[in-house]
Amino acid sequence: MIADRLAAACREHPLREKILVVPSLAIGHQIADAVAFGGTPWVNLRMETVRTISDAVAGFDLAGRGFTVLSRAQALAVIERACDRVLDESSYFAALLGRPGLYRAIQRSVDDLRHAGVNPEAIPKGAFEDERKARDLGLIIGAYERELRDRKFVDRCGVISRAIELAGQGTWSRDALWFVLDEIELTNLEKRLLDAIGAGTILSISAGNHDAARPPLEVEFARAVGEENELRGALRAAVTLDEAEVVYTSRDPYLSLAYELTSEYAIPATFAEGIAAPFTRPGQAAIGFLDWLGDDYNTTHLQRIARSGALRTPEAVPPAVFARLLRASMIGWGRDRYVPRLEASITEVERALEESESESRSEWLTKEIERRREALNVAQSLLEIGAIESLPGAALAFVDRFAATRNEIDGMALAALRRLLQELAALEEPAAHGERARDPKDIDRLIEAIAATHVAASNPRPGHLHVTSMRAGGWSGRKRMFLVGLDDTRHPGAGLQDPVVLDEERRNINSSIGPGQLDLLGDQPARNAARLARLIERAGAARWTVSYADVDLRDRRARFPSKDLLELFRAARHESDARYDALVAGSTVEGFLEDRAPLSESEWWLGQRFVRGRQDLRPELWSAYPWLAQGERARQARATDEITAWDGRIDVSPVDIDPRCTGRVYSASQMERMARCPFGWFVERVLHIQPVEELLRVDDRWLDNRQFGVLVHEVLQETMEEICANGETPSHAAHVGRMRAIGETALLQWRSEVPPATESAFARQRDELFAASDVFLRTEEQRCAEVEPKFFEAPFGMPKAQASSIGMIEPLVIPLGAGTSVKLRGQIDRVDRDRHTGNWQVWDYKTGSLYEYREEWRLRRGTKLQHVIYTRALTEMLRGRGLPGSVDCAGYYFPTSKGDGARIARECAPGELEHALNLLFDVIGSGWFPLPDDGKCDFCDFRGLCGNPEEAKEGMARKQTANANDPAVMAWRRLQEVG
Amino acid sequence: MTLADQSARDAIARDLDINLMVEAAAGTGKTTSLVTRAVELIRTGRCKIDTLAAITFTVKAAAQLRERLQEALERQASGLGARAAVEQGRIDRALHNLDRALIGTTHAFCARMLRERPVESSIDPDFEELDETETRLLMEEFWSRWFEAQAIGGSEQLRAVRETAVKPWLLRNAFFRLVDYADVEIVSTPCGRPDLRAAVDAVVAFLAKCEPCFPTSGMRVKEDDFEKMMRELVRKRDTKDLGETLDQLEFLEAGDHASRKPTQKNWPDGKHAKQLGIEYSDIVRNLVRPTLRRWREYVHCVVIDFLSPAVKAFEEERLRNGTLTFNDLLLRARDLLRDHPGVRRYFQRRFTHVLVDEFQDTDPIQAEVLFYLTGEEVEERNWRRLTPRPGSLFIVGDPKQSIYRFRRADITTYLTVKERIEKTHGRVEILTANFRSVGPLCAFVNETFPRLFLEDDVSKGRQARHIDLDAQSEGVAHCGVYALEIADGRYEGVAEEEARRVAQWIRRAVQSGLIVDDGGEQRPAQYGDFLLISERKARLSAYARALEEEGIRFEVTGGEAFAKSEELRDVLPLLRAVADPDDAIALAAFLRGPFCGASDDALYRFVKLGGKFAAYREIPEGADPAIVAGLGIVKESLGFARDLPAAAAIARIFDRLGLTAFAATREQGGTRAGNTLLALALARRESASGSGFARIVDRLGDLLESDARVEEMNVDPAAENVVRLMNLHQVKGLEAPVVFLIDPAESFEHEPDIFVDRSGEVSRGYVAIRERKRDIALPENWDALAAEESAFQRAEHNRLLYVAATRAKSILVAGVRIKQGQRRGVWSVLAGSAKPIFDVGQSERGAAAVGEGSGFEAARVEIERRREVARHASYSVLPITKIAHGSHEELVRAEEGLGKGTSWGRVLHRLFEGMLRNDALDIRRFAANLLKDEERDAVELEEVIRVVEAVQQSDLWRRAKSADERYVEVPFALQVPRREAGIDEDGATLLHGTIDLVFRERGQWFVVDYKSDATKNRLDALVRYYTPQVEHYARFWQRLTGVPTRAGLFFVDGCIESWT
Ligand code: SF4
Repeated sequence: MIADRLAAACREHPLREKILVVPSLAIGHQIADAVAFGGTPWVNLRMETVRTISDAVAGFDLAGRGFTVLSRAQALAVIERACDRVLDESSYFAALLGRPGLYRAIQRSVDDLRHAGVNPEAIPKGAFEDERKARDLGLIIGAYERELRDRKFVDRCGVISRAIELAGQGTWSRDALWFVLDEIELTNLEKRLLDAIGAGTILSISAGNHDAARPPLEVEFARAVGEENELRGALRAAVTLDEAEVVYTSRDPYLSLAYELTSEYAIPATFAEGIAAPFTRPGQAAIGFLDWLGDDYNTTHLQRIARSGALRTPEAVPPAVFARLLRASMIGWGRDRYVPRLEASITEVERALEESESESRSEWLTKEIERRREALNVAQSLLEIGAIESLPGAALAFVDRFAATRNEIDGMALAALRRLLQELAALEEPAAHGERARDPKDIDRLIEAIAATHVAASNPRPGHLHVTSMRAGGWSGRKRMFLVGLDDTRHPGAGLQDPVVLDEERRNINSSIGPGQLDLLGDQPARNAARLARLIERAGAARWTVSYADVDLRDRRARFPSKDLLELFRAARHESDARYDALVAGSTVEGFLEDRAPLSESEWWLGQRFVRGRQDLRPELWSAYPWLAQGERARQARATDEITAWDGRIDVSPVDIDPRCTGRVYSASQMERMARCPFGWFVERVLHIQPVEELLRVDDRWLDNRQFGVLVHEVLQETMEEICANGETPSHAAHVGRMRAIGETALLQWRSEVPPATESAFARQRDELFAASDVFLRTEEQRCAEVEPKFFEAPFGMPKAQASSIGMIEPLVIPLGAGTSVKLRGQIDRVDRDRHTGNWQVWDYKTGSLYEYREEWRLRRGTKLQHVIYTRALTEMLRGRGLPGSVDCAGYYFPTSKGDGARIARECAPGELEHALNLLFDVIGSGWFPLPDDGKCDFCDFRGLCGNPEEAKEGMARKQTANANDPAVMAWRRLQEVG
Repeated sequence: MTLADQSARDAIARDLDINLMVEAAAGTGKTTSLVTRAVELIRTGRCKIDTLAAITFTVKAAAQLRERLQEALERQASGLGARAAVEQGRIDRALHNLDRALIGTTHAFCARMLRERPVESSIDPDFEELDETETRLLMEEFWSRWFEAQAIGGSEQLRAVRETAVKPWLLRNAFFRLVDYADVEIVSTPCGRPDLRAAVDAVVAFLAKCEPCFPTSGMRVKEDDFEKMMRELVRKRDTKDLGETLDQLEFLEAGDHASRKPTQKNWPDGKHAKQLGIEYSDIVRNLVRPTLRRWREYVHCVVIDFLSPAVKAFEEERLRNGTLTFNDLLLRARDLLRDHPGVRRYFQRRFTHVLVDEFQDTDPIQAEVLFYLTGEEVEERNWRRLTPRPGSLFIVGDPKQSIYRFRRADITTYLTVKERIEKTHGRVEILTANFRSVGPLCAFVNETFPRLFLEDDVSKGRQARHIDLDAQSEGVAHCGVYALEIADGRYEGVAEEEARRVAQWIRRAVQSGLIVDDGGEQRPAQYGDFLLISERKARLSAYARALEEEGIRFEVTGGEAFAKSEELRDVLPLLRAVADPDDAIALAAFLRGPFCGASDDALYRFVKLGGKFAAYREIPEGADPAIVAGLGIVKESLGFARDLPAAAAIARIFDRLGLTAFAATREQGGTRAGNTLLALALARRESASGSGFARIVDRLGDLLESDARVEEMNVDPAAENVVRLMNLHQVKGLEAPVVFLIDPAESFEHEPDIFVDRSGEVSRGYVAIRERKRDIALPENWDALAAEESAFQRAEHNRLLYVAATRAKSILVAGVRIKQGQRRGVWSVLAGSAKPIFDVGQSERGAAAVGEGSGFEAARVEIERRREVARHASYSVLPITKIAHGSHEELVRAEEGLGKGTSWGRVLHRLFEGMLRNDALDIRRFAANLLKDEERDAVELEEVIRVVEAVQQSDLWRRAKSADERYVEVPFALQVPRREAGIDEDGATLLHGTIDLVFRERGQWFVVDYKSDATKNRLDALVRYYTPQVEHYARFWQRLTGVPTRAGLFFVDGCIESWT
């Protein structure tokens, strides 16, 4: 074992400096700790990597000469520019210019060539499939190196090369005993560096004997239902966390799954490769910010990061408040909407403050103004940052000012992101001239770069489970090892070729330049297999569980064990011809059902129910989760024949709720709503629950039905008013132009309130509006031969009636017998007068479909009341103004293309309205708010809240039958009979 | 015994230089023949494992093939002995390099070619392979963007489309469809805009005649359909501009109902009304309908003209962005090979032998790819003219099992390839020896299918010819075909009844030890022996319920109950309320919902008390306990969402709520709980890709509310020996001793909306656009094309029956409905006159087990305890500085004195180290670099130099320089008992630290620690503070060297030494 051999060296040379060259410092530290834990105290034992050595040898020299070392991401940007500069139409790679994958592939190949020490000019032309490749690569490397030189950059390869030079000149030497861990995988160039500094004195030292892949002494095999159960198996078996290490073959999905699961079960863990930045607040914030830029400044993204706590805002406007204000000011999206909308929202509160009469309210309003002002400031800063030309620069400014941090990991993430963004910003070349439109692809790429950033990488720590990769695993000396991900898709991998220098070409190059210089990618699986063997070897003393997931949970696809897993199984069982089914049969199954050591409460219940087969768990469940018991009570109540407090029945005095007693004024449409769905009315008007109002971006729709209805209304109203004010009669030919102009103005007005997501959606509704205009004018043209349009908008029971030539300020009072009455308000869309009889007609515009109006009804179970209420109201108004004639026609008018301009008149007998209203109020007044019997409702915001009306239907019917003598039920049923 | 098809089987292993197409009927050993061929190719040295490509239909089949190939090679290796060292070598090498063999699906294979030669295909080498959902999203996103661009750009085609009034969503759907068939030339016949005038005039004239005769209000209870239509037409006539085509169209469509008749008694003159009805029908048939048909053909041409560029643009964009759909992989690989002879040559070297399985169901493009890969003529672009190199191609398939027409597979392609292989000196071999089914079942198939595979279809290339199966086993007493008869009734009722009967039968069969034949082996039945196959997925859940009721474990493949999961739907409001604490509806829905059970009365009182439906608001005194508990859960959940990664937060919320436990204890608890677990698995996946809490909740909502079909999951998906339940399209390659064909509804024939003709050099597609049942746009001659497509579909339906009938090893049960004494339903053709299913005894099912269980409270405590124990540190690692300096506070106080920050100290430390290591060090340059490295201001250089000069003058420095032995920056570590390190626990700890300077002088060691603190006025405090640390160093050093050691501090500020 490596630790023993190092310990021996330490004992032999206690004081002398001993240096071990390791693949990574993390591994080195684990080895050094193992030496001391093995009982050998040590002094002057140092761990170095190729990187630290080359930095030590050449770092100051390079820095002294003004060179900056580039990260890989930065070097990629230089490669990209080099390619763009030297490749032209005649180049082999020309077809892929601009594709990010090309640059990455070229960077890999260039690295390979440089590390192998292959000079592209020396490559014989015939080595390549396409001769142009040699020239292209030569040019790219030339241009790349030139830019490095010119801008005083140096990449990793350059640092090593310089270090070799310096070491060769003898300017750097270290009097030490040198060891190299032979697990390290070195490139040619790296080997040369070690040769140069060690001058042949380096001892190779190995963690084990690799003659044959020996299985560990103790090994179990497992197959799991999905990767997550593979990990759960490990979490369960890791009885003492800091004695266990989980090694994965592939980072995705194991690393993030392990992070999720250990967090879920509150298991402290260290991650050798860190965790992905998007798991941290600064990561989430940065991505949210970029999404915001990429999605036309849609507030949704800011709201999200604000609500999740990833956004940091000034104290005066906490993130949740900022989110609320962004939404409430109906900004929606678009850079230009922020300032005016937020300013308008401030003005609104200022106005309210002026009008406020209560002190506490004024106080609140003053605070609210402050909050809104601060929100405006924040928004302005964000917009300024968003306008920074350099994208990484903007992101950097954003995280600096607005990324929240709550814990250590957030802090590390912030630092790592700043570094990344600084590096990327440093390399950007200023745009040739002026503004440059943001390329959505740049945003995507930056998001990818952030997502690929890993933070808080850690060595094993006491009290923590260690999770690591196959390369970095097996060094902790822990007693319990878990190796996950040994299915054949993840291990040993496919050995995909490098498209820039194909294996065939690599072979040619190698044979013409010298053997074994460029690795073949087809050997990748073999190399992975060897890594696995070494991993197991170096922790061979531990107890192992090796596993694979035999199904992908997402799509329920089967997965199969890797060939190496079978080999391991054969070796462990001493059955060299064991077959796959033996492996499968010889593996324990890790699934969702686990009886012995549940990780969570849920698992315990699953174990009890399905492993032990218990069917008597309910009582225990109710006592463990009292809310579920309460829920069950509700379910049972709903299942009984009684109409209970869970069926929309409340305990209330009629004085508080019965419109005949409350003395409040109700709108006519509210009455209809009440009759259509008392429960919905209860939610809206009694519980005061409102849907969140916000602008959502829907590509194929601009205004919703209600909004579009209002728009049509406005246009019709204004057109008719104008025509009639001019003393004209409507005519399609004469007025269509004017009506369109009015329409255009209204469209513009609406547009500023509600920005259309797409122009085509806007255009569609514009067409629809104009089609409605046509239908309307044609209908009017014919109609006006018979009638004279007299009033448009006749309000009653509303202050604005004052301005109307017909309206009345007082509500309409409908006596309902026994001294009771109800007060109503509303607004009649349209009043016409019959040219022959002089009688009056009342019309209500409808922009929806004719569907409900096809049947013959008078009040339609109380859901259509307007025609009667308006008739009454108009009669009052006429009487009030002393106008002759009676109202002899009332109904609904469909001035749209869908409705073909149909006018549907409805009448009802005297007393019928009173009858219906009394029934309705008998129901409501009793404190019962049923759902519609037929379970059918139009679009309603409360769908998620009332329970599925379609499903509730049957239960409701049953309850009504069982309580047929309940006065409220009787009233409700009789109301349903009103035609 | 030699098999009847032995010569065919021999040919597979022998005729290695001849291209073979093997038609392997059901159960005749497809994969075996593939493996045999591969092994022989390798053994004889014709092919190395690296140059072998084996293409399968599914990922699963690929993995199985790989396993079987490995095992076959291993058998060969051990069987060859010494007699063939060369062959042994080949086999060994193959085994060693097995990972290099390309065994996978066509898509994987194509993807690999594209990644290897991206330049020639002009695709980003890191291209992304989109799955169906991603493709769908991308398509939608592209469409709205493209459509918008057309709208803004004033596209002529869009204008033309607008003038046909086709709804945008229909265009969008048509676009999606065309994208699916990108390899096909979509046919559109240009034609002029037809004149609708004549038809309109005829209808208007008729209206004039009809209007005076309309019934009046009092005469009838309700308008009849005819009157309704007429009134609508009148309205349209009066409000539309009948000079405008679109208005004309609307008018004609409103009147396009030939079968609406007046109800005579409604009309003032009933007889006349009847006459009017007849007259109008004639107008519709002779004038309106033909006119509309011409219009639809015109619309078709306009729409296709509009969409084709969109399809093209979308394709180009995908290539540019490197986002490839499944189809793209095939198409681009095809193009790559077709258009680049050099690349074709390259891949022909890479893959010398190509073996293909399940060829009847693969994509038509695959056929092209295969021919380009093996064809001798590398310059020839037409695959139908290529000659595969002898022996390079080996295809296995069964045209009788071609069942994926709806997924582009086409029997025409199969037949074309077969013909081409025969024409190019290849051979077709036929396997008939069936190792799966017993004699009576084979006889049944041989008897039934020649009838069902119509000769007419065969001759027209729509159907395969039936070939008799040659049974290898006679079977046991009960084997054969049976019918399970259910009395006809309500749709769901029939399925429920059948489900009950099937489940009971299975339980009794197992309990009574029914003997089944399992590929020749005879043994009592177990649950794993039963396979239930339905034609469609819709009612699988009824069968699942019935099986559960009987206490039988089962596994549903392709069940769609996930989206219907009650628990998930019910928990969504809670998740939404956490994601958006301002969402009052979600919050109230959670409170009122089944996990909280607050009553409406409680909600009312809550509001009365001043309560608000907002998560962060205070809960008023006296609120209902259910509401208090619910709001408590919401607050706790908000905490989880704040502190944990998103998926973990959701999992904790579920756990806290008791959701999974609740699901598990309900009926069908296995599936219910499975679905909550699945939701968490999906959430983890989302979270891994960077989504936060709110986005994951949205996604979950989408999955539950949209038609995205997520397969449900059982809590124990790994369960073995369970009854399997699936639909017909999933049974490929599966078999079972007993097969039930369930759900005896009538088979449902889709009205075709596309017909693809792959018989010519260019494949042509004819697409109809329809809004529900209404035709919107039709290609010319559509009726004939649709009839042809229907004929293809009917032929395929019979092949589906073939697949269904050939899954069983010993017993096949076909479910039928009995209606008026007749057997009905999709399986009735198979049931034919089969005997009703036999009885398997009447055993009652035992009472459900009530297991022994521990109590929950104890379990909760135990879970916590185990976590506690696990977290206990079994070792520790401490820097010496941590144990040396008493309290942290003191350290902070001491650090205040540094004044210049810790990096200043580091600069000096590193500089002294350099100076002591290297006499020749260029101090100035080195110091300048250090300052830069530590990100300090360069002007500090002079100060550094002043300090250095002072230190160099110091006594300590001189002593160190002239010491006998000297080490700098010396790391060390040792293990000590924890108590020694001041930790009050058993066990050991590791102490580590770094000594700045240690030197030996006259037989004694001196350990020195540099301190860069400002010393003014606080030297004593600093000395007190730092001394324990150096003392530790010295003690350690002395222990290690056995030589007396003194410890000292060296304060750079003033060059003050302090020795202990
Ligand atoms: S969805 Fe229907 S039942 Fe539910 S509240 Fe709305 S209208 Fe009433």
